[in-house]
Amino acid sequence: MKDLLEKAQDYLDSGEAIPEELISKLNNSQLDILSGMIAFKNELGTELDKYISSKPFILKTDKRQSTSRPAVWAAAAVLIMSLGIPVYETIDNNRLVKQETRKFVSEITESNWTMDILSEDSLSTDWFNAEPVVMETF
Amino acid sequence: MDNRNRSFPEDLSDEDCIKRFKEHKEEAVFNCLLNRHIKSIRRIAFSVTRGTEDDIEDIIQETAFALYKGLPGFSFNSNFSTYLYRLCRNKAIDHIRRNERNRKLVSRIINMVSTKDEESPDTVLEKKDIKSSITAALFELPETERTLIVLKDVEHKSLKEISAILKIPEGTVKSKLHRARVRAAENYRRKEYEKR
Repeated sequence: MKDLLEKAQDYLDSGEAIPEELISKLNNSQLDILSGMIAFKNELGTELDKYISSKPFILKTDKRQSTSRPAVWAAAAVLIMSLGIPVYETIDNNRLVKQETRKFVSEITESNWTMDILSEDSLSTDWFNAEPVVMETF
Repeated sequence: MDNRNRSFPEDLSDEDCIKRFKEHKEEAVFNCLLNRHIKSIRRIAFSVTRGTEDDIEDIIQETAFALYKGLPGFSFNSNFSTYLYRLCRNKAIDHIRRNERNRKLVSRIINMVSTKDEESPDTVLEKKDIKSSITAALFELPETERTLIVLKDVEHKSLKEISAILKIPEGTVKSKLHRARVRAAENYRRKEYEKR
């Protein structure tokens, strides 16, 4: 069964006035929706036309490239350029960190940094029970 | 046909324009035919895409090319405007899909390189100059509902014609239209209330 709003809508579409009897049966919420519907129906065309240009159409023989394509290329170019910087910085930072680590390990082990430090012998050292190394500044 | 006896395209009906275009491939006739419907096409493209001027012009160009290619095969089984509106809607939907892919790609790329303070491309794209509560309320609806409302309330198409354009049964058009209008009206009232 049709609801009251649907019936009111039928009157709107046919251009007839909505009977008062039908309006009186609508509750506040339905009345609010109905007034919104009427405003919508009356003003939508005008509102849409505000955003649409009225220039005539002229057939262009060269098919235009979609406007979004240059944006993709521009963004890709930005990505490529910017990716170079973090990657370079990461490599460079890793190098600095390694240098710091080498220096630190050299100081606490009082040895030169070589791969020997990571050899089985050195790894078997009981680092937890080793004498603490006092560092004045770090 | 003798050129001297030819009427101006402006004086011809849609049907006669199509016949003449089929026969002579006159661009002037084609342009005239399309210009008759250009406002409606722009409205449909706008309501489907919620687009910018560039989007709309792209869709019109794509619709025009498809029409230029398809018009010689037009068999008058349906109303020309029904055929044209369906073509335009399809092109607009293709445009959205293509843009959606590009937008996601751009968004992903920009998110990778931008700082937190910068607006995402989606936010930028949403910041179009849509200030009216009516259009804002319309744009909160799904695409089919937006197009239904525009075809019915702005283009004044019959339920039968809308059914042919959207390729959905007439009964469904009616029920969906009702639902769409209720939702649009609710959105509109809410937006008006928020303005106060």
